[in-house]
Amino acid sequence: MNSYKKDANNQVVFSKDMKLIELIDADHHLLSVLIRLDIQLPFGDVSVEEICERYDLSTEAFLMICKVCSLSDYEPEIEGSDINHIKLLLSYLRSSHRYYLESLLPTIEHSVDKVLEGCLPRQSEILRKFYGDYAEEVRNHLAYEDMHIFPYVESLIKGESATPSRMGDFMEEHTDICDKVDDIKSIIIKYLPEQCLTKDRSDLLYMLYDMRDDLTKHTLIELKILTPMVQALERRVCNE
Amino acid sequence: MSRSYKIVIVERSAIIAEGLKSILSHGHDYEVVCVVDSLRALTERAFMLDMDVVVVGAQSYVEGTALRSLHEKMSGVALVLLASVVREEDVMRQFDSVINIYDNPQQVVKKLNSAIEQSQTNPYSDSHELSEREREVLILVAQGMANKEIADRLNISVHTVMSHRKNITHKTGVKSVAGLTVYALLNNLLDQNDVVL
Repeated sequence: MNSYKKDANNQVVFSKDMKLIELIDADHHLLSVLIRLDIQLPFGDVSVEEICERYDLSTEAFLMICKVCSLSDYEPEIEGSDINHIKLLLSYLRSSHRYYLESLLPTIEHSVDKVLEGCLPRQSEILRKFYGDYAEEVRNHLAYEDMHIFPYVESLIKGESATPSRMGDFMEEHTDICDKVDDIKSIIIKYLPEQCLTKDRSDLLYMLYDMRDDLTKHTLIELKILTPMVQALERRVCNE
Repeated sequence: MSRSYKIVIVERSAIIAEGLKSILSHGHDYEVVCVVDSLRALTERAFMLDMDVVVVGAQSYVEGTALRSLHEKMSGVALVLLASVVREEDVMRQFDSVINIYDNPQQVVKKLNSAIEQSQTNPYSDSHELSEREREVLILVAQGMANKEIADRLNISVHTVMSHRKNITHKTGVKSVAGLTVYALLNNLLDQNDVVL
C-alpha cells in the first residue's frame, strides 16, 4: 500500500515531510538521485528534510531535482539565487557526469559490442564507429561543462568573478546530446540484421531508453534550474 | 536567394488557370511549371515533374482515389484545392489548404504558403518504404553533400531536398547524417568505399 500523497491529477506530491522510502516508492528512478548525492542506505524512516539536514544539502533544491526527474510537466519557479541551492545542483551535475563517463558510456559500449558479435565485420565496424563517435561527442560536451561552465559558476559563488550574461552565452552554445540516441535505437530496432540476438538487442535498448531519459532530465536541470539561478546570481553580484 | 516553389495547376478552365498564373507571376516565390487538365494526366506525368505544390481545380477533382494515388507517388508535395463553393468536410480534409476563386491575391499566396508548411509537418503517406527519389537524396546525404549541392545535382529546389529529408527521417526514424549513413550502408544503398567513415 502506497503511503505517499497524490494531487487531484494523480501526480505525486513531493514534499520535505515525505519519507525517503515513500520517495523511492513513488518513483524508483529517484534512487539514482540519492546515489549521485552520495546518500547512503539504509534510510530507515527518515524524511526528506531530515536526510538533507544530515548531509547538509538544500532541501528545496533537492526537491526540485526530484520533481524535474519524476514529473513530466513540472515547471520550476526560480526566485532569487540561493548559493546553497546552486552548490547542490553543481554537486549533483558533476556526479552525474562522473556516472556517465565512468559507468554508463563504457557499459553501453560493451553492450553494443555484444550485439554486434553476430554481424558481418563490415556492418559491425560501421556501427561501432557510429556509437564511438556519439560517445566522443557526449564526452566533449560533458568536458566543456566540467572545464568551463561549472568552474565559472563556482567562482561566481565565491564572489571572484561575474560577467553579465555569461551563463546565457554558455547556454546558447549548449548542444543536444539526446538526438543520436534515437537514431541508434531506430537502427537497432528496425535495421540490424537478424543475426544480432534479440536478447542482446533488448538489453541494449533498455539501456539506451534509460540513457535518453537520464540525459533529457539532466539537460532540463541545467536549463530550467541551474541557468536561471546562476543568471539571478550574476545580476546580484554585478549590482553589488 | 532561395529558389522559387514549383507549382503544377490541374484545371480545365483556361481562364481560371491563366488567372492563377497571373496572380502568381507578380512575386518571385512561385513558378508555375505546368498546367494539365485532369488528375489522371498529372498522375501519368508525375514522375517526370519536380514540384512543390499541386493546385487542383474543383472541376478536375472528381473523387479521392486518383488523389490518393497521386499522394503516394509524390510524398512531400503540398496539395491545394481551388474551389468556387464550399465543399464537403471530407473532401477538404484531403488537401493541405483550400483556395476559393474569390480570394484576393494576398489570400491566395498566404494559403499556398501555409499548405507548403502543412505538407512538410504532416506527411500524408504512411508508407515506410523510401521512394526512388528519397533513396537518391539519402545516398547523396550519406556521401556528405549539403542540401544545396544535392539540389544542384538532382536539378530540384533546396526546398524539395529538405522536404525529402524530412520524409526520409520520418520513414527511417533516423535523423543525423551519421545515422543515415549507417542506414544506407546496412541496406546496401551505398558501398563502404563511397563514404568517409
